[in-house]
Amino acid sequence: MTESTLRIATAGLFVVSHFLTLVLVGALYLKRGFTFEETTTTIAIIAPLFAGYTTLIVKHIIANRNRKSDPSTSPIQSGLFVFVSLFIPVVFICVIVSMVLVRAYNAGISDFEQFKILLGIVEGAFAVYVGLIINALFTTPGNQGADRYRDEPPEV
Amino acid sequence: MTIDDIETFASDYGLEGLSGRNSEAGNGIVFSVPVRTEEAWVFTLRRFPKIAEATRIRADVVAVHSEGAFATFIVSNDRPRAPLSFAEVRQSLERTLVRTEAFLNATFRGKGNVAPLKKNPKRISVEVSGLRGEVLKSEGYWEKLIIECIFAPDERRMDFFINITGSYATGAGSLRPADDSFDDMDQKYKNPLQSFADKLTVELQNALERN
Repeated sequence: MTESTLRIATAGLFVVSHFLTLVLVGALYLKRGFTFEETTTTIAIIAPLFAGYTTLIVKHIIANRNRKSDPSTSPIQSGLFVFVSLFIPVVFICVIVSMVLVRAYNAGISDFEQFKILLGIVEGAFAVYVGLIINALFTTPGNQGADRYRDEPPEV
Repeated sequence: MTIDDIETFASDYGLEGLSGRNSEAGNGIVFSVPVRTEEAWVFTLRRFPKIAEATRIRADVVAVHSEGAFATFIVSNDRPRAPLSFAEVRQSLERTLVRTEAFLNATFRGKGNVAPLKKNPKRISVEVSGLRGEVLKSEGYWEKLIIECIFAPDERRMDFFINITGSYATGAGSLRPADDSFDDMDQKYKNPLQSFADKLTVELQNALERN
C-alpha cells in the first residue's frame, strides 16, 4: 500500500468515526441510553479525544488542498507499518464505540462514573500509539506535512 | 396509650424493627423510620385518634471527623421527601388488604414485577421493578418504585395512605440496569411522582369501593 492510499484510509477512518460516534451518542440519548447530562458529558469527553487527531488530519488536508496526490509516485509503505497504522486506530475506535453501546444498553457498565473512568483509561492507553501513527502520516519534519509538495508546482 | 398499645401499634405497622424507644421526656415514644419517609409517617400518625401528637425530632450527634460516616444521611436529609397521598374508604380491613394486593398486582401486570417487601396487619409494602416510562412518561427511563400502603381503620371508615419512593435509570435496550445505577426520582422528578401517587390512590380507592 502506498503512503497516499494509507493516508486517505486513515484520514477517512478518523474523520468519519469522529462524527459518527458523536451522532451515535445523540441517537442513544433519544433511545434513553443516556440522560441529557450524561450525553453532554460523554460528548465533552469523546469530542476532544478524536479532535486531537482529526485536527492534524484536517490541517494536513487544508494545507494540501491544491495538490493532487498521485498514488503511483507515492512511496510504498512496509506491510508492518500499514498493519499498525490501520489496526491500532480501528481497535481504538471499536473500543470507544463498544463502551458507548455497552453503557447505553446496560450490558456491563452499570455506573456512569465507571464509564467516564474507562473512557479516560482507553484514551491514555491508545494516545501514544495513535498519536505516533497520525504524526507519521500527516506531518513531516519542518512543515506539518506540506513540505513534500513544496517543489511541485501548484495545480491551477 | 399504654406500652401494650404502643407495642401493638408498632407490630401492626411493622415498626418493631425500627428501634422504637421511649423519648427523653418520658411521655412518648420515638421511632426511627427510613430516611425520606419521615414526613409521610408524621402525617400518617397524626391521623390516628389515639395519638395526641406526632412530630419529627432532630437527632443531635457529636463526633469528630464524622463527614464520612454521616455524609449519606446528610445528603438524604437535604432531599425532598417522598410523596404521600391519602384517601378514605368504607371497607373492612381484611377485605382492603386482600383487594389492595390484588390491585397492585393487576395494575403492574405486564409492566413490571411486583415483589412484596413487608406485610403487616395494617401495612403493605411492595417493590415494583422493571417499569418503563410509567411515572416519567415523557422520559421513558427504567423505573423502580417502593409503594407503602398504610391503613388506619376505625369504627366507621378507613383512611389509607400511599407513600412512594421512586428511582430511575437509563437503558436503551431490554437489559435491566443494575441496582446501583438507579438515581432517586424525588430529587428531580418530585411532581410526576406526586401525580403518580395521587393517581394510584384514586384508582385504589375506586377498586376498594367497587363491589
